[in-house]
Amino acid sequence: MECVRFEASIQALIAGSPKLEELEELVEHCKVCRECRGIFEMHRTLTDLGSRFDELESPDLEGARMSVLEQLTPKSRSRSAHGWLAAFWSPFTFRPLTATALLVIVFVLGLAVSRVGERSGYMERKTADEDFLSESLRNLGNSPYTFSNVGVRYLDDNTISLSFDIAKRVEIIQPARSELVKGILTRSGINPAATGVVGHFRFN
Amino acid sequence: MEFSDGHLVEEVMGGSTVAFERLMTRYERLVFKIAFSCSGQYDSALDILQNVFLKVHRKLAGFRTDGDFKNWIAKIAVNESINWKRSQKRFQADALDESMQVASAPVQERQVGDRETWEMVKRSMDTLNPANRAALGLRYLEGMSIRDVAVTLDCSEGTVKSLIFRGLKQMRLNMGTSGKVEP
Repeated sequence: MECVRFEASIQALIAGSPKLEELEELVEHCKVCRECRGIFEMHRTLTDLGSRFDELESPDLEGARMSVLEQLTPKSRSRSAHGWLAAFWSPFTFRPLTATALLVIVFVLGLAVSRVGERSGYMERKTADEDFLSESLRNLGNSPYTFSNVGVRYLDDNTISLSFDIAKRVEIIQPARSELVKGILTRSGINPAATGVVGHFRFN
Repeated sequence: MEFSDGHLVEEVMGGSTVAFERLMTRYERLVFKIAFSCSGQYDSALDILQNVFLKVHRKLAGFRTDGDFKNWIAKIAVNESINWKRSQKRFQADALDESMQVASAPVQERQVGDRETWEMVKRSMDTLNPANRAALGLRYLEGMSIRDVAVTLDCSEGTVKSLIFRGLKQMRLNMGTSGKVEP
């Protein structure tokens, strides 16, 4: 036969809000009613074990978390050194198709490098051109222009790109203390001194 | 600095995995306890946990950032756990057999420490219906108030008390003694 008399009291106990009188009555009742005592004990057992759940089950939540994050994270996520090593070998051990693709890429790269080697004559010619032009431009005789940092680049077989710094030597005749001379010397960073001595120069 | 759930949700919506990891760390125990109380199995609970968080990530756009994230995720966990249990119905018969073996064992043999008691409690819980199991798990494993359990399960507080009461009653029957004893 079911005992229903103290059901409300037990439910209040479950909710954590029993009245003191009700609780006293329930405890007295449990001494004589095995059914209510059983429920009361089950409540206590679950309360006790539930509060020690982590100790009883000690779940590996970190592993599960990492697994979820791995599924959510794009493949480009940074890997540990071990991960990179594993990733390096995995195509050869697990994915024959990927391994084949890698080998093809290596072969194509090798081919490209050998082609570059064939073009090394072109590189030598380019260097020789630069040296020749630098020397020629430097020895232009009476030309007021000087050239430096000459660069030569072949755009294609018929077009060439030349780049260089160019400077022109200009001579001016001026009174030593003229404003122009002072301005030039000042802007060039050589300031006229009160003694009349500026760097290697002496004013007359 | 402790960020609010709403703030973290917004960060996740903006593509932050770190924010989602924080949310997971915050609620993984809750989800695991719900999953465990429903499945009764450690490995299954971890599987359910992963499914729950993947689902949470997918459904995050539907969550109002001013809402109660804990209840929202608890509801998803309960539903996911119940669905999992339904898909595992074929194991129900085995669980019932085991619980009957527990019930018929002598009382002395049952008093063999917390670990064994816990194992019996798990087997006994496994025979309950999903609603009872979810209510018991939220109340005893997670320590939720009756009110929070009611919100999570979408029912009244009275229903929750009743679910727990009947769950305890059934577990007691599964685990042994019954009937009145005269003084």
